Amino acid sequence: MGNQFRRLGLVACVAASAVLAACTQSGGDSGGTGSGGGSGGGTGGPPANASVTQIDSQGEAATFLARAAFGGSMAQIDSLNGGDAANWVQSEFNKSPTFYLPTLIAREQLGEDLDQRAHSRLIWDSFVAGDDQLRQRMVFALSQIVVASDRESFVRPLTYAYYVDALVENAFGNYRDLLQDVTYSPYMSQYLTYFKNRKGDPNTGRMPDENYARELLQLFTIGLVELNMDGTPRLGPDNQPIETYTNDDIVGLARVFTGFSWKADRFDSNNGDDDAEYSALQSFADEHSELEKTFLGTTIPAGTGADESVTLALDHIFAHPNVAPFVSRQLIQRFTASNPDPAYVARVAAAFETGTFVSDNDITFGSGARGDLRATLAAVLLDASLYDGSTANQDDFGKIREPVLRFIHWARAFSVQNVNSGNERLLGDTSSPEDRIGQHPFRSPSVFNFYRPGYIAPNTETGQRDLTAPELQIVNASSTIGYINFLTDFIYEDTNQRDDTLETYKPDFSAEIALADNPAALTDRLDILLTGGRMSDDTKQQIIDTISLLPIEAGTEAEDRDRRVRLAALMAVNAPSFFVLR
Amino acid sequence: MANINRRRFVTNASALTLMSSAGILGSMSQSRVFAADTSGYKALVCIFLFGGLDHADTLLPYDAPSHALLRNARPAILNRYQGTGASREISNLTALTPVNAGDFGGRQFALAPELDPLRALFQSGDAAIVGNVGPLIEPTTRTLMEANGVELPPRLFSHNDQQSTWESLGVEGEKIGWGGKFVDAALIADPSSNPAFAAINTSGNNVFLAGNVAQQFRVGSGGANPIQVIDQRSTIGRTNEGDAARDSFRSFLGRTVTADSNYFITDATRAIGGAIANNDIYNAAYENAVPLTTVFPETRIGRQLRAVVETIDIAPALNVNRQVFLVGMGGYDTHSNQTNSLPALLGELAEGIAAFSAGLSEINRWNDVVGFTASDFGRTVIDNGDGTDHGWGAHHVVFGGDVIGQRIYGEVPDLDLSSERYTERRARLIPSVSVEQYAATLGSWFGLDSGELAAALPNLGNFNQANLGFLS
Repeated sequence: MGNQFRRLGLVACVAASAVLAACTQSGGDSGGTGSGGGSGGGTGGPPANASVTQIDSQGEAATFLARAAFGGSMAQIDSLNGGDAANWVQSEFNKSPTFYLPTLIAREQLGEDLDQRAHSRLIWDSFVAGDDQLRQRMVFALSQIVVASDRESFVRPLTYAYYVDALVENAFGNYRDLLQDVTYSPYMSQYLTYFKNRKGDPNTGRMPDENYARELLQLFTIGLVELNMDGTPRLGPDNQPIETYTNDDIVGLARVFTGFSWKADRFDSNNGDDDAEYSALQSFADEHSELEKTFLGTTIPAGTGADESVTLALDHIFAHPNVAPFVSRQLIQRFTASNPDPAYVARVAAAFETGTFVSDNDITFGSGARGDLRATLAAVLLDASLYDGSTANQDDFGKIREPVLRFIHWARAFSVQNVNSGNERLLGDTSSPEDRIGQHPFRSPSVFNFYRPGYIAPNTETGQRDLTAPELQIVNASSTIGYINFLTDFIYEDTNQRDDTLETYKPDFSAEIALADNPAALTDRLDILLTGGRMSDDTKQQIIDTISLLPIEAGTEAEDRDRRVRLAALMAVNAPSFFVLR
Repeated sequence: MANINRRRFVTNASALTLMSSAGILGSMSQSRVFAADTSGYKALVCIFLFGGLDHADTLLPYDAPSHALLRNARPAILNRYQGTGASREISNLTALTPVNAGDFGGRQFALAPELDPLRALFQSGDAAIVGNVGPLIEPTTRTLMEANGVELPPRLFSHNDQQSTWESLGVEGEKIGWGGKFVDAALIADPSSNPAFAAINTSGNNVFLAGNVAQQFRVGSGGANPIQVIDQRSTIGRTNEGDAARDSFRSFLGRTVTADSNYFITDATRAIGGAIANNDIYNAAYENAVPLTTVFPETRIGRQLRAVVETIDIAPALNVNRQVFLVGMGGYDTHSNQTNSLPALLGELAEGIAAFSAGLSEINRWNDVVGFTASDFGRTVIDNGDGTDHGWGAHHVVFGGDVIGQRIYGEVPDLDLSSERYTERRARLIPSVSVEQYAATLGSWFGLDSGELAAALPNLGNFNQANLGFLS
């Protein structure tokens, strides 16, 4: 109640004055309303005048960077330590984005014959070494919600980059705009087969393709069942979930996504204009259904044009109350918690609904428009429960990190040099669980992503308690071994490089080597870098004991120290505490 | 010895879990002895065709009147095939000669030509077709549906939910599949069997194989998959100290217990440790086996089916005599470009099954294994110009030495789209045979008794034929 009031006051204050500091003092924590919902109040919590999102240790900094970025180096950890997470988020929001399409077009103009999946090497590069880490992390998250996998044989790099850039462009924008841009991206139209989809033909019986209509509703916006704001299903009088749409809604909505093709002079143009493969789809009135389009309780009148129909349809779908909890819960799963507390989902969904989130140190995030992703993302990352100690030691809290996040965290923790993913054959396709990591960014098996947000693993502790753990869906006997072998190759610099002299992905172990004579100190450092200070005593002791077996002998000290460090690193990236972020 | 005791303990603990969660199996354990027949060796192999198989482009009408109805229903698809060799024209098809042709009046059938290797199995009596199978709660017709007079499976036409329903009889989120339940019944009846190798997938975790006792194990398609750093001395060091460190690292990886009470940490610990231990056992058995001489196609499905045959071959060494496998093949969601993509998929599928049959014959297991197809759903008979959309019922195929083959079971509705077997819009096939009847026939052969089948398949009693009769 007090918090609510304080925040309302703050919004008014921001509106009245641009001087945030003044607002902080007048409307901030001075009223003794506590600092962000912690139950402690007097003892054990942060000082009364400190923000709950203040980062107080290297471990907290490392954990935050694993959540909000793809992990960080010790220098990045130290730079954040002592600062406020909210300030970090704000500064990330202000960084200029790394776009993909311009880079690829420039390369092509310089005469390069782009590889069919040239975009994918760039994605690795940006995730590993891009400065706009939060945006790229959000791009990875969105790529797992608004899925258009590049696995298909028809993928072309510029067409795909156009889709990726729609995520980059809107990552800190509005979800409604994201839907618009993704819908008009040629790759999505090919992937979900509304590219050159024609209106029905009463003579032959042909009906419009229903693919996009169905997945847009089921996967990108509202889901199958009505949701409460906290992401739990609403139950009907029969105590069962209430389905959001019927098959007739799909048949009706499918008429909307007809008549779209390349930017071209005619609908059935083979390749379209010169820039068609990286231009927004174009509508062709003759091939667009002129029938009325009835779905989800609305009817777009007969004769409405293609572009207007799409706008009306997306507006109507976006207005559905499910969108906020549906998107919010999945974003939380990508960043912080595999099975988020419904109250946490409700707080994030509220930020989505209001387009505003106010951090504990009184920074206002978001434009105030429903669907604002800055507000939503800030609510995900700056939720007080992540900082005030209320979840850190809960048995049902944590995020199982997908393999891509684990690998990139390793690369960033040891500041790999010469990030040129095109030189690393092992990064060409990391989808195989047997000899890679069982996941490749933007390359899920289907539009249903790598795993389902509702996945509950059988025969597990989480499963027994009905806790969702999506990422466990791709953990199996093969992927466990594949991951060990893959990380071994990188840690021991035994990767398969096109040009060995480039020394790509070369880890910098110098600080660790300096500690190699002291296995306990070395392990403590790895604990900060890789597990945010959450490595178990047992794991630490086993690392210490194991690497201590490797002697450091006169004459071969450098080699011996190197051996210890690499084995210690390999063990740490296989520690359960590296798999689970909390 | 100690191992066997541990397994007994695990089994009992699981039975307790069942009772406490009021599972039907659990309550049954109090009232009667489990009776699954676990003599000899038997395996079920599910080939799941992810995306939704277009039944109408798989089992084709061969007689002229029926073929004309197909052309009338989906002219765009048939016309596109004209441009790619006219593979769907009667002149390019070979008629099936089912023993029970009389059940279909004058109607004749053919498989898509790419399925020729499967046609050979059909004609030799080693394969059968089961027509119009799909998820049902109770027998259903269009009239009953339109009158809301029948309970329908939830979330029809949605990929993930119908995959889940095929595999577990519940929408996404269901935790136990009927493959896993079959394995559970066998494991409970034969506690000396190793639960780690009874439910095996070759393409990733699926709810189909999840059981209360059964643990899902993934076998890669490249044979044994050793940990390089443990397997080779060179990485950590070719010294005694290096060997000691390798051993220590190996036991670190193999931990399955943690002092940390966090559930996610606990699950991660068990997943890593369990994978390490089970891979060691699997790899050891694999490396002792005589390599197969049968050549499998180097396709995703071919490699997986080879891994299945190799795993069946080493089942004695893995200490298991009832196994259920799930093999996955994607790409069947043919909304677009169907006339190019589907034939290629069907060709790979049939060639894979032919090699599978040859491989099982090589190891003398053809009579001990039954393979069957499953898929999200069939597809709309009415096309969308160059593809088809999500449907419901579909035709499937079963194969193996014990299949009473060269027959078509179930129903193959004719192409009168106004009939009771089609939904009103787009002509989606309304199933005539429920997934549970299909499963019950397989489960009965696998060794489950009627009580165990009823427990595993809750709606089976709503149908008057609990065994479709395609297995001897």
